[in-house]
Amino acid sequence: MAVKDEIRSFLETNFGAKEIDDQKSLMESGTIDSMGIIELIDFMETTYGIKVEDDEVVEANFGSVAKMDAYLAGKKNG
Amino acid sequence: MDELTRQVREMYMEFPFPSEEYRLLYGPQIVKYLHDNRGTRPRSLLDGADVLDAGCGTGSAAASMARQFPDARITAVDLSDASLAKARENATSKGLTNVEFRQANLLEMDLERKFDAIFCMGVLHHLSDPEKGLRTLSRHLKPGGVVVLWLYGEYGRHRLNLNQRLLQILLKDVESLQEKVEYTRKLLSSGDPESLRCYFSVHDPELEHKWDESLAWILGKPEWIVDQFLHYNERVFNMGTILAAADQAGLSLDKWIGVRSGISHLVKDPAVLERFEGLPERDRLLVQDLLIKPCHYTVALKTKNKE
Repeated sequence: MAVKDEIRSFLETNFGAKEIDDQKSLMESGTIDSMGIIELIDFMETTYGIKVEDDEVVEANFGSVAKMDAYLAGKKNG
Repeated sequence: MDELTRQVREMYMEFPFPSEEYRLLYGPQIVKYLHDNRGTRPRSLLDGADVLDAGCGTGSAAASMARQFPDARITAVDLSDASLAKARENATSKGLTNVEFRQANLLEMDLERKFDAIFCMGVLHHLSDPEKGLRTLSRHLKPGGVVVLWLYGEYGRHRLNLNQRLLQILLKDVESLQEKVEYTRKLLSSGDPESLRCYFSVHDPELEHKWDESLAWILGKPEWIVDQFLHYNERVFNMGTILAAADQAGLSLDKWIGVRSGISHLVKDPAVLERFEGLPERDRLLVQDLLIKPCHYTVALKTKNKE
């Protein structure tokens, strides 16, 4: 499964999200609330074996499916 | 109330701030800090907590917290009645019952109660005596409680501070704040971008370091022009002055939020890293600070004698 599909699947299972627009802000669209970021960090660290650093916990990395996908690609290549 | 405090109060009466929702107080890095330090609470340090938002402005962040943590008791104070009126209206329209708004001067207030968490976001640096303000906050802290501050950074705001000084001299004979806003707009929109380019705070962190986009946004926001370019009192901090102010207030740094510890992601040379690692903790923080040159700081402070 592609990373974007895995992220969408996680959002559907854990937040009841439907028809997720990859580009749309997850917070502004109400898909996740502020605490949702904690679950997303946990999902990324356990699923992809990465360490999310404190300075990476920003909306530029977690704001949407597309941003999370780009962030993970950067972490894998870095 | 001292003269500077009175001026700042009048400024915010004329231009209540912020005018719309933004998530300075409750951004993802702070959410993570509050989760990591929740102790026995289920999700966050704010679950069931007594919380103070010191300098709440128009109350968007306090309302957001009240909604997220219905079992928390939130007290939000501000100097400006105009901002508080908007805050109360906003909370009432959302049906929030766990947030109380009160008028108070952070330099003099005694709320006669203590809090598990105190947020003072983007406020201390506008007080006539920030160190005294922090001591006041410290007195309102329960044992083991935390003060979270968001402060302007001396190193990252240097060019902005020069532009502010330029405007002060250029507009010293202009009395009306509204007129000053118009002149500032004219300067920023027509001046040489290379000469004027600087970092300033905007509602969306993603825009912050993009001059053209952040400029286009702020030109339509008079209250942000006032807050960022024309403020009567802006005191910028660095890690050294933050630690000194914390010391004075009987507090110590618990966490520099949003900044990873060490410099190994920024400096690769092993000999330099070894020298850095050999420094005392405070010097390591100062070196890190001078290396990053932050535009702003989010720090969590705790009482020194925590159990």
